[in-house]
Amino acid sequence: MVSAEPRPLALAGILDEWSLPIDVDAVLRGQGADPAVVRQRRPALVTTAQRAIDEGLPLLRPAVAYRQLPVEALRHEQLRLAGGAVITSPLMAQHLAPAEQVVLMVCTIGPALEQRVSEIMRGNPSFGLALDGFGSMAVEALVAAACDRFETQAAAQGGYTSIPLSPGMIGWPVDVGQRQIFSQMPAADIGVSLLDSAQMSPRKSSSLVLGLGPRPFSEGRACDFCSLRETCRYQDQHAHYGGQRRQLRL
Amino acid sequence: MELKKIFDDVVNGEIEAIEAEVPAALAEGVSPDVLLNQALIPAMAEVGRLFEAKEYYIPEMLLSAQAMQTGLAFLRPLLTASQSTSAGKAVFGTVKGDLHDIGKNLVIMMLEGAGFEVTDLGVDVHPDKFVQAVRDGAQVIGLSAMLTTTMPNMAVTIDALKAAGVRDQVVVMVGGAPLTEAYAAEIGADGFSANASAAVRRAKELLAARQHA
Repeated sequence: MVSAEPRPLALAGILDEWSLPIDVDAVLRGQGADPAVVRQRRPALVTTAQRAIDEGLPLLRPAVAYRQLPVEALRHEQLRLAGGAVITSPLMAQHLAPAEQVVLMVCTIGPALEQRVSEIMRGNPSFGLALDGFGSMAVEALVAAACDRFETQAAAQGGYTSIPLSPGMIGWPVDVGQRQIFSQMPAADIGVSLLDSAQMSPRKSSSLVLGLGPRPFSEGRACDFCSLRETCRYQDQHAHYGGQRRQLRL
Repeated sequence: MELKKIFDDVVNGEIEAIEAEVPAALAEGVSPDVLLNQALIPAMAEVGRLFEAKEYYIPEMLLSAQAMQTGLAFLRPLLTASQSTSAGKAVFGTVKGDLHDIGKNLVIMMLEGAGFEVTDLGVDVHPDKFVQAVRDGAQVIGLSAMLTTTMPNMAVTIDALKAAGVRDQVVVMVGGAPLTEAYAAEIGADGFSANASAAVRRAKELLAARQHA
């Protein structure tokens, strides 16, 4: 989804006006299923997925807290940002070498949907799973839309953006990365907190670093950097980032 | 009412059909024990096989589990103690510090579909609650964690079972996205499973081994 050229963004803030296009196929993929197979074999699940969209959309409160910082130096695996912030991971050296700026983001769809899932899961697990799958895809859609927003802005100035890199990817331990991002973010302003276990609350949240620069970054999928990529049934094969152009299918 | 029809409808997740067919079969004189052990439970075993063969997806597995539970609800009041549904008493929970529960809930549903009595302790469960569960008669303890930062609390829980002197009384299984067979062995768990269906198979194997030991 490529948006029309937006108003230039401030260097930090909260973005809370989002339209997230999520269809039945996305909800089925969010449950680890192949939509084409399910449509033919189990049409009841298609109906359930549509109901999850109908009941889930009003529960979404999508918001993105972001902060854009100049890169001062990249030393080996350490990305040093203006103001003293440091992000440490082999991923930085591998994928953010062209970055002159980075955008740190915390994205959330809010707590209401996962609360609803908890309420209904025991009594109606099939619908609970569909609603949870909808929520997972909503977070992915929000991350994609946020990255698209910054990519469009960068492109308007002749620049490029990187693959979004998140704590927990191979080479960036989740507890290390989350603390590095959250220490720089007004995440509390969008209701997201970091628990002692480095888990975000609400759970349907995501944090990431996006590089901005005048030269193309390496291309790939976020799933390419996950240790579960060989076995995970929830991967989106089509969400590519970086490179000369990003192609996204939700 | 043919048992094969009930079997097929559980495999296909036809909840409404099961809602009609099981009472109809009972009215025809089919015994609850036969319906349970020759239709419902074998159907869920087939669903598990299809899932592990990557032919079925999780939502299909859930539909089948719901169909099975629908049928079981008609049978439970009619089953005598000697025909007990219980394949064992299991207690599951997500370890301290972790709030994830979808995977655990799927395992619980599949275990119930296989005839286990399962108690769900929820999320962020203190080790002492698992210790108490063993004292209350649990034969299987299931520990779930979704984060590398909370996985260590599985070892903490197993150590708590040892310290309480109840470790030998129970089978301990672990599972969750970052878990591996090697990690399970390292922390002293009895078993690991990569998915809900494999968890059922493993729980049965471990309990059988314990009973024959």
